[in-house]
Parts: sequence; C-alpha cells; structure tokens
Amino acid sequence: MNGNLGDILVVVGNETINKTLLQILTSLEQQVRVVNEARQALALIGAGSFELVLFFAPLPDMTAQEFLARIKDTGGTDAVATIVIGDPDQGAELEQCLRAGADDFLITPISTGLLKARVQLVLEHKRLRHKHEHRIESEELLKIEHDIQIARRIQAGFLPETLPNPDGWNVAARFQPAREVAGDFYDAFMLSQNRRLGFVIADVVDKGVPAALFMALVRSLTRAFAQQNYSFNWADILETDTLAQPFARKQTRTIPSTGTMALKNAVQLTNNYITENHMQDNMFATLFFGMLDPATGQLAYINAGHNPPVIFDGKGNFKLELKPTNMAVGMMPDTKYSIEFAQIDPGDFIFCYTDGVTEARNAAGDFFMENRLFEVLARPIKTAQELVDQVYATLQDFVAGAVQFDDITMIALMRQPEDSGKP
Amino acid sequence: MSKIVSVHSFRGGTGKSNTTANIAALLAEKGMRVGVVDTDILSPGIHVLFGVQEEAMVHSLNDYLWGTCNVEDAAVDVTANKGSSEKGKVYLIPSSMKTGDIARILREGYDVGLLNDGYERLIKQLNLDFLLIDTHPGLNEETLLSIAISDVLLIVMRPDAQDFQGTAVTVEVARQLNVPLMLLIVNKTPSIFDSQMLKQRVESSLRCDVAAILPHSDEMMALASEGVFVTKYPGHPMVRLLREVLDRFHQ
Ligand SMILES: Nc1ncnc2c1ncn2[C@@H]1O[C@H](COP(=O)(O)OP(=O)(O)O)[C@@H](O)[C@H]1O
Ligand SMILES: [Mg+2]
Repeated sequence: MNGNLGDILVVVGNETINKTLLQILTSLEQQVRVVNEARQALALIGAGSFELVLFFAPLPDMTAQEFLARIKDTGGTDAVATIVIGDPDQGAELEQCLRAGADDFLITPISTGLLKARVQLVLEHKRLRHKHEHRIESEELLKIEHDIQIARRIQAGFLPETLPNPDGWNVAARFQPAREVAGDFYDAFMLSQNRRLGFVIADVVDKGVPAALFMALVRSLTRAFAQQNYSFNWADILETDTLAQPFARKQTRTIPSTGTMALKNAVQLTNNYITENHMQDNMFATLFFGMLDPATGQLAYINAGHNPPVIFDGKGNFKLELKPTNMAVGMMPDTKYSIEFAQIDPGDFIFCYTDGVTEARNAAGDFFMENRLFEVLARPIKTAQELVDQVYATLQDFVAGAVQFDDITMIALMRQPEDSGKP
Repeated sequence: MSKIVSVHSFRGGTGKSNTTANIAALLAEKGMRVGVVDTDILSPGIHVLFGVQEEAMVHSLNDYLWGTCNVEDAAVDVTANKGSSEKGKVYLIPSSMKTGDIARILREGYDVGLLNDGYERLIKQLNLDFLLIDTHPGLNEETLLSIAISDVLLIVMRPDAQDFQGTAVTVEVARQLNVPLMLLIVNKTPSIFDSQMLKQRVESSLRCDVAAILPHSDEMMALASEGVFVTKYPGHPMVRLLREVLDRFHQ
C-alpha cells in the first residue's frame, strides 16, 4: 500500500484499544491516530487528511448516525471512508450505521485477516470512487474547453472570409479577441450590384460568451437588413421636418440616394429588433456603418455611439473624425438614425477601430492612447494592410506582453492616389 | 439650371402618360433637351406613345437598377423629327415590358436611392434642360421619391369625385414634401362643363393652382396612344392649352 495516502483515525470511545488492532493497522503502512471522542475526531477530519475512520459503537459523545452525517458534511462525496466496529449483540445498531452511510462493519473480536481485508477493500473503493469523480470533473472541463473552441470557430465564421477590394481601393482588417470569444466585429461587403461598399465596425459593451452571442446577432441583422431592399418608409419622410427647409431639399441627406436606404435600414431595423426582443438583456453595441461609393469616394455613414473613425490624407495629415451621429444600437427603442456624409479623396484612408486599441495597457498600466495611434497613422504608408499591420505591431511593442483586457479590432480602407491608379 | 418635372395622378387612366409625352414634345419644339423616365415600373406604357418597339429596347430602366448598364445607356432618342438639326431632343428611358422583369421587381424590390442618383446622372450625361418623370399612380416609394426631388409637380385628374378625393391626398403629401411648384391639370373634361367655373371650383377645394383644363378629345381617344398628340395634331386647341402649362414652369 501507498504510504502517501491519507491516515487512519481510530475512535475508541470507552474501549481500550487493543494492541493487536493497532499492530495490524500499522502494518498497512498507514499512519494511525487514536482519539477517544467523536468531537475530537471530527475536528481532526475537518483539518487533516484522513482516509479512513474506524470507530467503536456506541460513541461516548454523540450517536453514530450523527457522527456519520457530520463526516459527510465535512467532505461531501469526497468524505473519508468509515468502518463501524461493534459487539455481536449490536446487530441492529450496526445496521443503522450502514444505512447512515458507513462503508462497512466489523464484529468483535476482530480477526487479523478480516480487518486487513476490510480496510483494504474500503480504501480501494474509496480511491476508485475518487478517481471516477475526478474523471467526470475533468471530462466536463474538457467539454467546456471544446465548446469554447467551437464557439470561437463559429464566431470566426461571422467575420468575412475575404474583404472586397473594388478598383482603386484596398481594404484590410485585424481582429484580436481578448478572451477566447469576443464582443467586437468588423464586416465589409459589396451592395447595390457592386456600386457600394458597406463596412462595419462594432463593439458589444461586454465580454466573453454573452458578448459573442450578441455580436453574432448584431452582425447577422445588420448584414441581412442591409442586403434587403426594404420599402422606404414614406411615412418617415413625411414626418421629417428637415424637408421643410427649402434649401435642404436638394441635399441628399433626407432623400435616399444609392445605398442610403440600406444603411438606414441596417442600423435602424437592427436597433428596433434588439430593443423589441432583447431589451431585458441590457446589452448594446457601439457601431459604425459606412456606405462608400468607390467611384467617387463619397461616404455616407451612421455612427451609433462608436469611437470616431479617422480620415488621414496621403501625406499623413489628419483630415476628419467621424463623430457619433446617434446613440449605440440596442439602447433606445425607436431611435431615428441620421446619415452623415464625408469625402475620401485619392491617397486618403479611413481607419476604424474599437477602444481596445487606444485603451490597450502595458505592464505599468499606461494606456496606448490616441496620440500613439495617430503617430502611426501619420507615417508614410502605402496600403491598408501595411497600416493595420503597423498599428498592431506598435501596439504589441507598447504592451510588451501585458495581459490583453479588451478585444482589438480595426478596419482600414485606402484610396489609391490618382497617379498610381491601375493602367 | 435643369428642372425635374414629375407627372402624377392618384388614380390610373387620367392621361398622365399622354400629358408627359405631349409636354416633352412641346419642350423639345422650343429647343429644349428633354429626358423622359418611365418610373411606372410595374405598369409601363409611355414607350408606346413614342412608338418604341419592345424589341428596340436594348436596355431599360430595370437594367440600370440591376446594375447591368449605366442609366444613360437605356436612353432612346425619340425626338419627333430625328433627322432635323433642331437643338431640341427627347430621350426616353423606358421600363421593361418583359413579364419576368416586372416579376423580379415585385419579388426583389430595388434600392429607390438608385433612382435619385440615376436622375442626376441622366441630367448630366445627356445634358438635359428638363427631366420628366412619368410615375406610377397612387403613392408608392418611387413616386414619393420622385415628388420629393421635383422642381415642378404636375398632378393630372379628371373632373370626377373619386379623382377629387385622391388628388387631395397627393396635394397634401406634396405640400409636406415642400415641392417648390405644384400645378393641377384637369383632363378629359366633358364639353358641357364650363372651364372657368370648374377651374375655380377645383382651385378653391384643393387650394392649388390649376394650370390647364383640358377637354375630352375624340381625336385623342381615336389616336389611342399610337402617337404623341401634339405632334399629330399641331393645330388642335388642346395644344395651345398645353403650351400654357409650359409657361408656368418658369414661375
Ligand atoms: N383629353 C383626353 N381626351 C380623350 N382621351 C384621353 C385624353 N387624355 C387621355 N386620354 C386617353 O385615356 C387613356 C389613358 O391615358 P394615359 O395617358 O395612358 O393615362 P395614364 O398614364 O394616367 O394611365 C388613353 O387611352 C388616352 O388616349
Ligand atoms: Mg401611364
């Protein structure tokens, strides 16, 4: 037998311990401790590493049943094994003990062979049971681990496999979840028969699996609504008072132009759906949705509470930040999202990111901050991919291996300078 | 400055398409470059008036909406005297008459925003002075959009109680959309009606200017949409009344 295993505790009560019993037990290569009372025994069991308790019934200070129940309480399923010892005329009491959870019994006078056999059997049982329970536990852990892997794969499937690259433009993105699954996402796809490039960056305000589920929902809804030609709700336009200003009429702000209905539907209908069906989850997402005309560089966008994407020119000068136009998606029922416009000229790029970038921290607890980000953005950079890679590399240098607290997501669109256009 | 003129009616069969074609022809006669878009995608028809055969339509507005051509590629020159060196021109952008195409619009819908951009592009590419939009009767999304972007809205109605009520709705909507100029045309007026009295009655009940009271014309009925009336009957009294409508555009 293994000496590393737990010790044996003997509660003798009023009996005087039999020398042969002690010898037998010691011969099992177990440490043996002898006490008189149940209370002492319980205190030792609670603190120590006993594997087996042998006790003589009746006990001096409590009933055997109570003693057994309290042993169970201290150890649960992992409780020490118990053998009750009694006189031949104590049959009924021994039976009660077995019902109360004792693993086995012995009748005095105790024979050496029987004692050895019983003790070994009980210990073996206990060890088997222990092993089995641990296997179940680790199997469960494995299963959870496996599930998270699947969740991660499914979530990766919610990110676009390839990014569109219309003539004269290049697009790149980077996604680095803080945990196995993330609450951020980006998306980019062509709309209106390749006449518009829709792109999205979003940050669900939570982390882990709940955020990932919510992310999947928001991403699916925005894309599905953007791809449907939903009826332009004319009651809406009749209620808009901006139209009443004579000079606002010709501006495309309230009157739909290509892709703007898709843009509005994507954000507004997603918000309606979430606020109608998931309000109690108390989750929301900051989201930027851009609708780009690759031919002209005109960008229509809705910024639902997301940190402003920035536009830089080809010489590394900051041009514009696209500030929030409305509240985050999922916050307020019936939010009317308004569309804004911006222009991306040849050589310019637009860089969208989540706050995981600027709020990344190094071991000293310092944030990466906007100024460090803008320093990278101002460097001479030729492609969107290079831009995203440089930001990420600089970020990695800065955090220098510190734990990542938030998802890091970015997407960049760069318009080729006029002279380097495709022949 | 080019102008967008939408021609609308709350109900069908009022003479919308005929009015659009006539006005287009008269504008071209005055040396204007005119585009006519058939946005009645679900029940197109104005191409018949201009004698455009289905087979002759290489492209249609539908193709533009589906991204297979630019909007100007669908334009057909339907100027009355095509050979002449006159400056005036009429270009028609027809809607497809193919059952499958109409079904596809019903099934998939389309991005109405494309119409807005398409109008703008047509004006630029064809260097138009006027863009006339023949709309679908009633209020649907393309009609609403067309009204919203118009400089002039012509509402065609018959002297009929149903038309009266419907027109009142359209007038109300156009007011909310703040159309700069809205004019009514009362068409198919029976000869027994007193034009002056009818004009007053319509104007006071709908609170909107009437640009013309056009008589019911047997010649027009007989022409049965197989030509543009003002081109076929240049001397008809109706032509003078229609010319007066054009004069209002510069208000
Ligand atoms: N002033 C008129 N007098 C007689 N018939 C007319 C007149 N105006 C139009 N019509 C006829 O009415 C019918 C419907 O005209 P159309 O222009 O196609 O109307 P809509 O486009 O409003 O449906 C056609 O047969 C046309 O010839
Ligand atoms: Mg018609």
